[in-house]
This record gives sequence, structure tokens and C-alpha cells, in this order.
Amino acid sequence: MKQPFTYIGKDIKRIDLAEKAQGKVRYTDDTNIAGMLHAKLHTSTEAHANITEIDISKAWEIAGVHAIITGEDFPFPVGPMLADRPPLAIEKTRYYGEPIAIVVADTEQQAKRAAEQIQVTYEPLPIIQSPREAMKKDAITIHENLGSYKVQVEGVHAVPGTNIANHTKIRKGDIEQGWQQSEVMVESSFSFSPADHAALEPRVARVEILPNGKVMVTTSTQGPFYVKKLLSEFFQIDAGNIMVHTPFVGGAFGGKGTVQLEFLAYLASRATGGKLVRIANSREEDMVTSPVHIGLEATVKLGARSDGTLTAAHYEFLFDGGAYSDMGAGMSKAAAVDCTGPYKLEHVSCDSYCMYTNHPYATSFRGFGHPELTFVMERMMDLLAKKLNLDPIQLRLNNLIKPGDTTPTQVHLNASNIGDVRACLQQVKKSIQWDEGQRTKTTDGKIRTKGVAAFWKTSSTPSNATAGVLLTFNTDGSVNLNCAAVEIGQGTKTVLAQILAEKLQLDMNKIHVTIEVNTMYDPHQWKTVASSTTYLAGRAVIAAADDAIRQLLQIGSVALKCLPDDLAVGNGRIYLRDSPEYFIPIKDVATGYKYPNGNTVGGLIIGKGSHVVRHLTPIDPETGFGKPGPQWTVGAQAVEVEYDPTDCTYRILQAATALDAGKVINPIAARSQMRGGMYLGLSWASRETFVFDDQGKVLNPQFRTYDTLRLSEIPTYKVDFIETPLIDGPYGARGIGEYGVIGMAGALANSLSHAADAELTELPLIPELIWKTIKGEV
Amino acid sequence: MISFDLQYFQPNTIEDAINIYEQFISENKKPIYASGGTEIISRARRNEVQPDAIIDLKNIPGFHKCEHKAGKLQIGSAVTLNHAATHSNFPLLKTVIQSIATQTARNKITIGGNLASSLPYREAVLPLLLTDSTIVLATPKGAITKNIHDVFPFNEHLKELELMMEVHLDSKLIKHPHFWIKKTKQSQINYPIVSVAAMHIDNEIRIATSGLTANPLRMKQLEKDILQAVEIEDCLDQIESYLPSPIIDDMIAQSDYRLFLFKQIIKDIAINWKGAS
Amino acid sequence: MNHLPQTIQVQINGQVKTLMVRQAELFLDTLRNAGLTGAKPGCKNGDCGSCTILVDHIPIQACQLFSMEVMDKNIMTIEGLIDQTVQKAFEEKWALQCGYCTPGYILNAYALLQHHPNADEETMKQWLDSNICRCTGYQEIIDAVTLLIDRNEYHEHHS
Repeated sequence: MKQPFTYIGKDIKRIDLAEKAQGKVRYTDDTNIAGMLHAKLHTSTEAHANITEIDISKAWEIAGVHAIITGEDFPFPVGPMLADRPPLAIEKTRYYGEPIAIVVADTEQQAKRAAEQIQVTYEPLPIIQSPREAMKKDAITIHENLGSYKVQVEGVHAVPGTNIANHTKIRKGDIEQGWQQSEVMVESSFSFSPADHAALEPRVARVEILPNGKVMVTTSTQGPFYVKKLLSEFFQIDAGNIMVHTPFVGGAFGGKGTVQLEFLAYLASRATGGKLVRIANSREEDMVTSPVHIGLEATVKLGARSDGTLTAAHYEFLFDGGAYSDMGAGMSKAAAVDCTGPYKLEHVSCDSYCMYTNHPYATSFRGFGHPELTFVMERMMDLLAKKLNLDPIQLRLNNLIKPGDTTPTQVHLNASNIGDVRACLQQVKKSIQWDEGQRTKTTDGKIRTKGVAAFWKTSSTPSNATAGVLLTFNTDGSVNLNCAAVEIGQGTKTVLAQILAEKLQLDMNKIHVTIEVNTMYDPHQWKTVASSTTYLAGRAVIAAADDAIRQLLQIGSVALKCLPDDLAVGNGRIYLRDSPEYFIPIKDVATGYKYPNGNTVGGLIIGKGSHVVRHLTPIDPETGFGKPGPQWTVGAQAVEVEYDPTDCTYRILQAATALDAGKVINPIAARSQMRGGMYLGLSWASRETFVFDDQGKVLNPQFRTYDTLRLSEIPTYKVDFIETPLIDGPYGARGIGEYGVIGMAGALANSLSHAADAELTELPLIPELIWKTIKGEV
Repeated sequence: MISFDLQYFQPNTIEDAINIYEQFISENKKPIYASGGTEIISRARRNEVQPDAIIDLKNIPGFHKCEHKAGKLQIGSAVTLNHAATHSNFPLLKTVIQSIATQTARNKITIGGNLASSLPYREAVLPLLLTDSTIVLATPKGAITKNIHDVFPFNEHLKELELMMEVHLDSKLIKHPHFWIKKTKQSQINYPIVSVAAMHIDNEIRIATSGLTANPLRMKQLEKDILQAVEIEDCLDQIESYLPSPIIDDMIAQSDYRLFLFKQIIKDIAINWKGAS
Repeated sequence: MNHLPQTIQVQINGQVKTLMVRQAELFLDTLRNAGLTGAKPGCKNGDCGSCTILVDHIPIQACQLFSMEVMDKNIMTIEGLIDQTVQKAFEEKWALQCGYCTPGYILNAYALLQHHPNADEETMKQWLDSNICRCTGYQEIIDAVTLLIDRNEYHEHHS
């Protein structure tokens, strides 16, 4: 069969492979600048306490100290959705590890030494360690002035006088009627504590304020323009005077999608008269002081007919947003709008809360609320299957959502805006060899079981999320692609180059992509999050390429003495459609076409394009009615474990994913994205969590004790793609970056619950938890 | 990054090392001996230890030996874990070592450093406890040799100026059948919830464990009782009575799960080996 | 002697360098201050392997070394690994995403192949378990190193 594409759907080599393999790329902290000062934080040793005194006198005694900054120097709260967080704690501290003071010194060692000399006197307050405690009527209020905080993003509903930072309500259909139709009901509660992103590169930022007022920022972020936006808003700096440079980023997973160190580095620079100041997290600070992966306590009630048809569902999500709302307020909403998972349900109610606690504050984590809600919902589906004595996959197949149905926020689904979850589930059923048995015993007494999860996610972007692309041409006819999408390891710049190569029918090595981002030279982009970059920036590439092609055809028509419509662009040429041997190389027109007599026409070819999400709406505060994202990517996952009933240990043997990618632009890149996501999901589900002592102190802020899944422990990964095109996606592509994570916790928990014959409702799934669940102690 | 200043010494003789140590003590300063130094570096970074001087012992010739000589396996305290694993020809020691930290970390961590760790685990000591090793100590009055059971744990038994130079054990013992199991919270790379090393030597079952209590233990009474017990369950029921201190209850595992795992391991050892004794 | 900075001499990537270091300084910071930023700080606690370098051909985490300790040693960092064989295998198998852990992996894999050119799976995994990667899911890293072992890339170098 004829392959319609030249570059799309091909295993095009990542453009950054060689540089990275040789250790040549420079991340933010790989640049040492003469005269640069170093900032170090003094952080809170208490999880909740009034600060009665900050004694900085001993810190000033350390040689080399330039400035010491405390909360009093900038007593205004900041935050991406609700401005509730002072960059440095004022009057009280709300979590262990919270920044209290910054010391700026000539060397990092001096800054660290001086920061260690700061003495803070605390007056302890009661500590709230779980969202349920935070919800209690008599709970201490962590934010006394909640009502006075500025709402940054429409749709955040804090409840003053409580610990509720955001409350999202979904009311679809008639829940009472739904319960009446239900012949069976299952109800259960689930929970897990905050964990971490643990990107290998700790967060780091540098700021210099130039004499002309320009603020020069270099930072490891997923949102250079977001840094610019928030710095401008909170520090009253004209946006045009802020330049944000983002070199290579050493992993992010959502954790670099918000702004924290950049504020601190700005304050530090300002306090030293604008000198260049660097602030770099230690691993401990990166885990605890900087924002973390959200925790959750949830209770769900599910109703169904005796044939397994879902009739009604009620969800109560209490997210552990920690001390400040940051993006937690967005995740609690995102989980609500997709609360049912990819199932058809006419009667749904959901109350989703982002709760303040005295834990480190949460920000977006790969999947944005969906790995969390999917763990809960997919466990519920297995509980229901068990109660009905139905095959878990069959129960899911009976209830899958499809075009013609509506989502919890009553968006009508059609053949484009949702993928084919049925095909995904059937593929994954095959991949995991479901029909060979969901539970088997090995000769040495181990138990092998399989578990599945189906999932979906929409992007929950702001309703004006946008991306732009600029194309310029070199004198050799090659193209420069400038776009503010951040390469965080996912391969986005390779994918964007492929889209451009396809549009221009130009060899990949003729496309030069600037991997680093600079807000002075790259067009505005919202952020690189929410699996939205292939869609947003990919569409912008197409628009920019169309713009460049139009210009090329126009000049080409002058050079080739024909109409633009007679011409096409490809292989570095502008050629006659019907006689490709008549052409002019792009290099001869890209900087103006010169006639033999020296006259020149055309000037520079500069392609520009942008894309913005359309028709998104805020959701109704009472019912949730509204459109939270442009489309739903769907998928299914399965896990097989080998469980040892003697000590509750297990090995993860296989993990399978089938995802409806719309169109796979780069198969190797897509599969490696999926495997990476599956790893992250399995690692989180099986072992990642913070452990808190009864004072709210994190006991394991290091890889030594913050366990992650290691190389020798990985399963066999199986990845398949279904392709149901998204009509307005670039070449039909849907977002896929986050999706490998989403179903893993649910599938693993389902598999292990079968193996242990015990209903597991908590994460992480460590052997001790299974042992305690079997004993009935959970 | 270590924020405070210190002095770093690499003496070439044990006498020099002791002299430097004494010098600092006499000035009311804190010296610390190091061989691999990994734990000191980690703790100093967090200011949990703030020595004025690091006395690095790895340039002292005798601290490097790992050889069989005069019927003894002799290992210097600055021998890295990986070197000891490869060159001792002691299968149990190799197995135990290879479950400590990571392969790369074991290129830096030393036998002496592991035995002197401030953490409860110190698993490299287990094979040494099972083989009734002797420890050669450097003291200001010269080297002395002591039974490991009399000097370990070092923090409880060694005097200020004493330090381990070498460990010696009977070369004949190393090939005896052995058993090793380490249970972790999840990843195998983690610290142990509990680990057990055992050897079958001349009709004896010898058992040593780590992770269960504050210090690694050789469990001589349990060894005897297992052999004599008609029903292994009798030993297991009162297993806590064999322990000198409470079972650890921490973020790695709660004490009841530790105890459950430990009992299960002991039962396995008894069932597998009792018949052979 | 006092605690003032000291001069050390060390051979890095074939060149003898004289460096001034604090006695409490760790070699990772020394390297990075000297412009050799291929060794990455991931944890500075000996847990992640991102700063792995070769000290006399043995992989060591630079964050676990006092700079004073490396006096007269032979150091290799990723910048000095002229032999591109391991790097090429990582490229061929796409054994990286963000690339931050990559230099540590490559030096560790290089050392593995020098010491055990025919490493069995268990040995390979034991060595590679020293490093943390948060992006790839590890399969591609295993594939790259397996490829090198299967191709017998380093057999002739080993005596």
C-alpha cells in the first residue's frame, strides 16, 4: 500500500540524541558566569507554626554575604490560580521545608553556611496532615485570610473560613433517579499521600536586573512565558522588560510547570542592586521545599443494573494540596470533569476539593489529576465486577463511552473529539493474554494475576492556550524553526520538525530547530504541559509552513513565470506541478529572488503561524456544565504480576498500553514516551510516597529512602497504538505525552488485589500494605 | 556541598593517623577517621557531623590487604566492598556485600566504613559474626587483636583512640553452606527491613541478622534452641525474647511486619537445614 | 596545616591539572567549577549516579569524593570519553530522553564493558542499577548496553 506520508509516522531520529549522549548539552546550571552570586534558602523546620523571630545576625557574620531577604521584604502572596503563597513565609510557616529567608553570597558555600546560621523562633500550631482532617468543622484554618486572596484564574472557588482552596461540583442527570435504577451498589474509600516528581535535574534559576530595567531570567521550566507572565503580574514589571531563557531541561513531569525559584531569584537579585544571582535546589529542597505530587482521599459510590450497566456514580475527592493551592486547585477540577473515566454515565455527582494541609504544596504532575482519579475509578470497576461476578474487561466493555454520549460536564462526544477506547481495551486484552487466565498459580507457589484499567483525559487548558511558530530561511535553503515549546525529554522539537518536514517536503537535516527557548525571540506559548504541545504547536507549525509556502509560491511564480497555483514546494525546490523538472531552489528565493540583471524581488521569506484552543468554556460552579478541553485521548492498560503469598512481595512481569494516538507522528518516540510514562506510573504506584512523622516533617527527602523503581525491576513493556484521527489535530494527532502514566496505578492495584484476594485501596502498593490489608488492619 | 571548613589528612602510617587524631583531641577539636568517607560526606552535607579534621586511612598500606594468609582471610578496613567481594573468595561475604547500596557506591564504601556506620544495618558484619572473626585494632599502644563479639558494635565497645585495622577469620570456614535473604520495603536496593545470614558449620546452624534491632546481631541462643526444639513454632512464638532490644519501628517498616518476616525467614532456615544437622 | 584551600594535582581526561580546592570541597563541585559540567548533580548524596566519573578506571560518584582524595589519580569524565562506542549505542537505541542522567550512565556502562566485556545479564543489571533515570523506563538503556555486549565491542581491549 502506498504510504501517504514522507516524514509523518516514521521513526525519525531525535534531533538531540548525539549532543545528549556526549554530555555536551548545557542545562541551566551548567553555565558558570564570572561575578555571579549564589543564593541559598533557610527553610522551615516546622510544618505549622507562628514565626515569632528571625535572627539573621549570625548569618551576616559569614564572609561574602551580600544580602539576606525575609518575608517582610515582599509581603505579598503569589500563585498561579489563587494568590495564596508568600514567596518567603511571613508571620507563620505552613509546611516543613517552606522558604523563610534567602542569603545571597559570593559563593554557594558561603550562602549555605550563612543560611544555616539563621535562627528562627517558632510558636507551634496544630498540624493538619490529611485532607479529611482539614475538612473537619473544628479544624484549624491554615489560611485565615483566604477570602482576601486574589483569584488568578476564573473557576477557582475557595471557601473562606475553611481549608477548602477550591471546590468543583459536577451535577449531571438526576442522581436520585440513578440510585433508584441501581440494582447493585459498591462503595469504597481510597487514599495516598503526596509524592514527588523527582526529575533528575533539580530546579534552578538565575536572575539579573539590568540598569535599563530589563529582567533577565534563565530557568529550568516548562513555561518560560508563564514565568514572564507571573513575574510581570506579581512584581509589576512590564512584560516586555522580562526575558526568560530556558536551556535544556533535565526532566520535569509537571513539576517545572509552575513558578517558585524564579520569584526568589528575582527578589535576591533586586536586593543586591540587580546583580546576577543563581539559586539551585539541593535534592532535599527539590523534593520538599519545591512543589510535589498531590495526595488524595476519595470516597466513591457506584450503582449499576444487575447486567452491569452503570446507572449512577457519586465521587468525593479530597485532594491533599498541601500548604498552598498552586496547580492543586486545577488538578482537583481536572479530576472532577473526567471523574467517571471513559464510561457512559447519565447520573453523576462529584464534589472535588483541593484541601489545604500542612504538607508540602502540590503542583501539576504528569496526568494532572488523572492517574489519581483513574486509580480510584478503576478499582471501583473491579469491585463492581467482583460483586456482579462479571469479567472485569467485559464489565468495562459494556459501559465504555463513545460518540453520541456526553461527559460529566455534558460535552457531546463525536467521532473526532474522543478516541476509540473499545479498540484500546481489546488490544490490551490481547497484549496481556487475558484469555489465558486472569489468575494462575506457578509450580513454586506464586500467583500470577492480571489487572486492567481504562482511562481518558482532556487537556484542561485555559480557554486561550496558544502557541506560535516562526520560520526563517537560510541561504542554503534550510529552515529555522523557532517555537517556545520546551524540550523536557519528550522529543517535542523532533516531532515539530517532522511536521514541518512533511509540510515542506524537506529533508529533516535541512530543518534547524532551536531547542533552547528565549521569550525575546520565540513567539508566545502558554506552557509545555497537558499533552498539548503536539496539538497546539503542531498546528502552529502547519500554519507557519502554509504561510511560508504561500510566499515561496508567490516569488517562485515570478521567477518561473507562471501562476502560484501552478507550483508546489518540495525537496528544497519550488517546482511546476506538472513538470517538476522546471524548478527553482528555495535557496534562490528565500532571501529575495535576484534576476540575472541584478534586480531583486521578494525580500525575506518569514513564515509565521499560531494556534489557539477554541470553544473552551469555564465550567458552571453549580453543575460543572462546560467544555474543559478540545478532545479526549483514551487508552487502556494492563499489568501482570507474580505475587508471593508467603511474604506479600511481588514482581511486575508485564505492563501493556494501548492508546488512541489519533495519528502517531514518530513511532519510536511515541513508544518511548509511553514506556517512560508506564515506568513513572508503576514506580509511583508501587513505591513512591513521602513519609511524614507526626510533626509533618518529611522523613525521606532523598533518593536513598524515596524509593523509585530501578532498572533491574522493570516489566516487559508492550505498547500499541490505535489511530482514530482528531480532525483538527496535526495530521490527526492527539496529545499523548502524559498518558502512559494514567492507568498504571489502577491496573497494578487491580492485579494485586486479585493476587492477594484483598481489596487494596491505598498507594503505594508495598508488601507491608498488602500484608496489613489481608490482616484487616487497613 | 559541605559548608563548614575542615582539615583533610591522608597519613601514610597508623602512628601518624593516631598522632593527628590525638593532636586534635588535645586542642579540643573533633577529628574523625574515614576510609570510604561516603557516610561522613552525606552527614556533613546536612551538618549531622561537623568534624574539624578528616583523617583518611586509605593510604596506610595494611588497610588495603585482602588475602588468605596463615590459614586466615585477612581484610583491611579500607578495602572497598567490591574489592572484598571479588578478592575474599568468601561466597557469603560476596553475596551479602552485593546487596549493600549500589555497585558504583560499593567502589567507595569500605568494610571498615560499613562496620562503623551510624545506621542500624552494617550488613557486611554478618558473615564476620558468623565466622567468629577477630578484629585487629590500632591503639596508641600498638595493635591488639580481639574477638569480634567483644568489640562489635564499635560505638558501644571501642574506646576513643581505638580503630579497626583488619578483620581476620578462619579460611576453612568460608566454603561452608550459607543462606542469605534480605527483605526490603520494595526495591531490592533499599535498606533492609530485615536481612538474615546463616551458615551451616560442623552440625551447627549459625544465624546473624540485621535491620531487626538497633544493631546487627549474632543469635547464638536461637541457634542452639532451633537445633534442640521439637517444634520450631516453640522458638518462633518467643522469638522476641532472643532480642536484646526492641524491634525497629520506622518508615522502612513497622515492627510487627519486621517480626513477621523475621519469623518466616527463621522458619525457612530451620526447615531447610535442621534435617541436615 | 590549617583549613585554607590547598593545591591538588590530578590528571583529568589525560591532562594534568593543578587546582585550588577547599579541603571540605567535594570533587563534583571542583569538576563543575573547572567547566567540566558533564557530571551532573542529581542528589549529591551518592544515590542517583548522575555524577558518575571514572577514577583509575573505576566508576565512582563524584559527589562522594573529597577533592583532596583524588590527588594524583587518573580521572575520566564524559568530556574525556573519546571512544564514541557507548555514546553511539545510546543514540542507536534512543537510550535517553531529557539526557540529564546520560553521562553517568555512559561512563558506568563504559566501565562495565571494560571490566566485563561479556557481562551476563545479572552483572549488567547489577552495574546499571546504580543509576536513576526518570524518563525512559530503562528498557532502551538495557537495550543499548546489551547491544554493546552482543557485538563484543570491547573484547579486544580487555586482557
